[in-house]
Amino acid sequence: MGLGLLASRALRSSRIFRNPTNSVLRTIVSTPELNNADAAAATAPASVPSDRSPVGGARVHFPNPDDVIEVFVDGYPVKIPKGMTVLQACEIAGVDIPRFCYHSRLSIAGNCRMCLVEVEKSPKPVASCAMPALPGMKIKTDTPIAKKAREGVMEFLLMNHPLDCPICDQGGECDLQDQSMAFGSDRGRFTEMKRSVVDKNLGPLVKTVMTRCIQCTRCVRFATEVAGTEDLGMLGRGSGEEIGTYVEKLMTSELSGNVIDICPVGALTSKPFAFKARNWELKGTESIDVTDAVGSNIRIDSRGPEVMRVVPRLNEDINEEWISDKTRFFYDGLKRQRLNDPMIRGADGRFKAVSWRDALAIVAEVMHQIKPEEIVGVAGKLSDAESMMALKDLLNKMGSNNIFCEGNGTQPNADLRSGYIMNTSISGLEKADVFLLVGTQPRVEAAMVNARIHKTVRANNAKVGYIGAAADFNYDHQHLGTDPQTLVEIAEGRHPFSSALKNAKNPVIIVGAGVFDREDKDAVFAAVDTIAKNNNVVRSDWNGLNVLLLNAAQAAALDLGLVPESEKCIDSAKFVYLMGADDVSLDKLPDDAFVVYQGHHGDRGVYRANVILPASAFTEKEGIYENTEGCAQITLPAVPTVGDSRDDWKIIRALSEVAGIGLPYDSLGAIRSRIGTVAPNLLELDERTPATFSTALRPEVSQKVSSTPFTPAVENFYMTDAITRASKIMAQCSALLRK
Amino acid sequence: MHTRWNSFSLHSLPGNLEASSSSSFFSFLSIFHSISSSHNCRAKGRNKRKIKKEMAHMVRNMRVPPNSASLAEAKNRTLEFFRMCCRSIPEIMDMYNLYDVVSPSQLRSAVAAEVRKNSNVTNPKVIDMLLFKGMEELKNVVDHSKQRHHIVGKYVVGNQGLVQDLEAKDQGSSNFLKNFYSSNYF
Repeated sequence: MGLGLLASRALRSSRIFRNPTNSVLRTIVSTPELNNADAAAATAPASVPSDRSPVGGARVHFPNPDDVIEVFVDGYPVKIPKGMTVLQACEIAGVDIPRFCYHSRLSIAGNCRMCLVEVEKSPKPVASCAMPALPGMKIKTDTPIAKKAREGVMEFLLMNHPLDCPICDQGGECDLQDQSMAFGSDRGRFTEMKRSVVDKNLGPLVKTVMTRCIQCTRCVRFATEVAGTEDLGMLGRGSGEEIGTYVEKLMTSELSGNVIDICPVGALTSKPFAFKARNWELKGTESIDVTDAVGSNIRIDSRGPEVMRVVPRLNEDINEEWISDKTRFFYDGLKRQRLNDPMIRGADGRFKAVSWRDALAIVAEVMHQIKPEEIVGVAGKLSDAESMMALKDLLNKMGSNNIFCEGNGTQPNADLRSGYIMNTSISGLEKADVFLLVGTQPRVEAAMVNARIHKTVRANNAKVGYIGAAADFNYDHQHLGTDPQTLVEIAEGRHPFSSALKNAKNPVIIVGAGVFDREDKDAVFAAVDTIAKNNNVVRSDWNGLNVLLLNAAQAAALDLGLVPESEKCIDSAKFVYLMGADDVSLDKLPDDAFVVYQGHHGDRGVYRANVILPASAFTEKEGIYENTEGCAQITLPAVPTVGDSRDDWKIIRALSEVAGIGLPYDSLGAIRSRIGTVAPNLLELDERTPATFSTALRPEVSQKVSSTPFTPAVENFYMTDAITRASKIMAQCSALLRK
Repeated sequence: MHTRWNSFSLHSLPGNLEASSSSSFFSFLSIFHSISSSHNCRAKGRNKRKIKKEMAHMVRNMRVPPNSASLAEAKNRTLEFFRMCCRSIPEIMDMYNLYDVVSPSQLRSAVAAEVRKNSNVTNPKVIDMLLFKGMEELKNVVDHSKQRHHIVGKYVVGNQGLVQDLEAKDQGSSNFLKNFYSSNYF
């Protein structure tokens, strides 16, 4: 008989002696005083704790001073607005209540019972997440009753939870693991077999180990309320209860990866990340996503030189705490198809690796032999503001003014900033009550903006009208038409939807950036301006006229004035500098043109290139990106560069010196101060700078809209740029999930 | 892991070596010549190779001496060590087949440069430690524990690597460009 056993027997017998009414079987509670809850409560010190600060530094906003109530949390008085739950009151009082099913962005389910607290004059502990706080309520979170309740719930949850933490991907960041350490008992009484549940196939992104599920239903609520696809549901009753899709079906939402984050246990984990790393080995770098124009805030988790995963970062104004599947899973593209050496195409048409010295010397030599007006620069989708500034300065010093950013069309209008950014701001969309989407499919163009629209439609019953090619929406919408004629009808008030716009309090019009490539774009924008004028879309307190951009570089490019001098500059170019531009059409480029491709992936642009200059990807450099709402944000290097590649702006700076036209900046700080003289808003990081003038200042256009239907701007949500096209996971998604 | 050569102290080299390196250097050479010639005299009929073998034998059997009592003793030991290196050089040239890349005198200057790197060290204990490391390196070289590229990389090509000759080309270019050519991180 071991010493421990002896001790526990002694403990048990003494407890029986002390309190004969207590059941002998309740040895599970490791803290003996919990067994006698009333006595312990009576002796508990009734000291008022000193000042506490809210959990996570949250601040309380009182919309109406009459609706303030006061409750006491552990004897500490807090003022909260009416309608808050007990759990929220506790958070404001600085007490973190353990929870599994409660999530602040989802509806309340109240089914895990982990958040039980004691409320004075209530016969039983109450589930704090579902109980509204009432005036004068005395909440006790630290009493023996609450502790015992948590211990009991924990024991029930662990009854059917497998003991596979050592091989579970959630290990180390698992709510169940953490809370069982903090609130659970040190032993269980369960000796029968654990239940097991068949794993579900939810597609290439989400791995399921359904036996680990604790039925918190967060994923079900997420799929319904945020993703807007009712893919997941709860099947069965009692111990047969399980999460599933009912019929064998993949999770088709573009936000499906977020269920990995909200799952409190290891039931839903990342399939590409499975068994790749442990979370404590990873280095987190707070960065920005560049795969679309939203600029979602992300954390890049890396181990050594490798990006292991991408997870979202909280930013209420942009992506809340979600990211799209493309953002989350494209990272394996960073390891494939990378350019790692400067290369020159030989006479035989094959690339030969050379030194930076030779590559730059050749480019500089060719550049000088060509007439300035035949030099064209194209910035790619993923370019940062610094490199675009450097490229523009270089070309201007050469005497050429033909520089543009792909996606902005051949003749972009960069005069009025309000004409190309999202003036309402992404979080501002929540106030809208009518949406008019013109030639844009936000679900594939900017999934996080679409999530906002979906949220607004759910919360305010906002009406959505859509003009464009037939598309898949995850909320109710009216398909008004496919071509700009419908737009004219609305502008002239002949369309039934114009009355909806007229009656709206906060109408929002969103024009897709795909319109930039249309011949009649001026006429389309003029029609949109007319609609805005007729329906009071732009007021002093509300600006509902938006353009939804497609690429991370677009907004900054227009701010920096990357506007080509001539519309057909590519057709007559003799020297083309592609700075990561892969989607620009080079069909009309003369055969004898010299093409320099500076970029990080061997993608479309490389096929035509004569010289390759390897650059670093956004995970390897510091760069400013402006998102579609005009908020400048910065990426930070998470991993070292690949091979012999260099940062984009450094390449251009070095080239300028080799070519004998030195650019006057040697450091990031210097190039940023140069940016500050052109577009100071790009230096105001993490802060949205609204446009100063409205588009009403635009000159009259005589152009007439054509009847060509709007075409989808994004063919395949999962593959839009060089990195995502190189990604294997994105290829799998395109094959399986593309609709 | 290879111990590095740069660990010798030759503060303890005689002043004249530091002040006028060439003359003292040649004095070493003369010592070396005299020794080998005396060997030749004494051991008539033995071929050169055998002598070298003997010398290598000497290097192989070297032992760690007790600490130097004074700076003067450390100085003497360093000199002795340098001589030992010089004596091993012909064999090293043979062993690693270095005739087409370097001459013995260049190799000797490389060794002398390594020694002079530590000329600022004045603590006899540190000198002893550096000497020990040097002995170890010499032993590794003579024992053929190294391969040709180790010797070529370290003593023939040197720290600058194969890009030494590029200095001239970059003349007149800014620091930015020089840094750019060497790495992305500056």
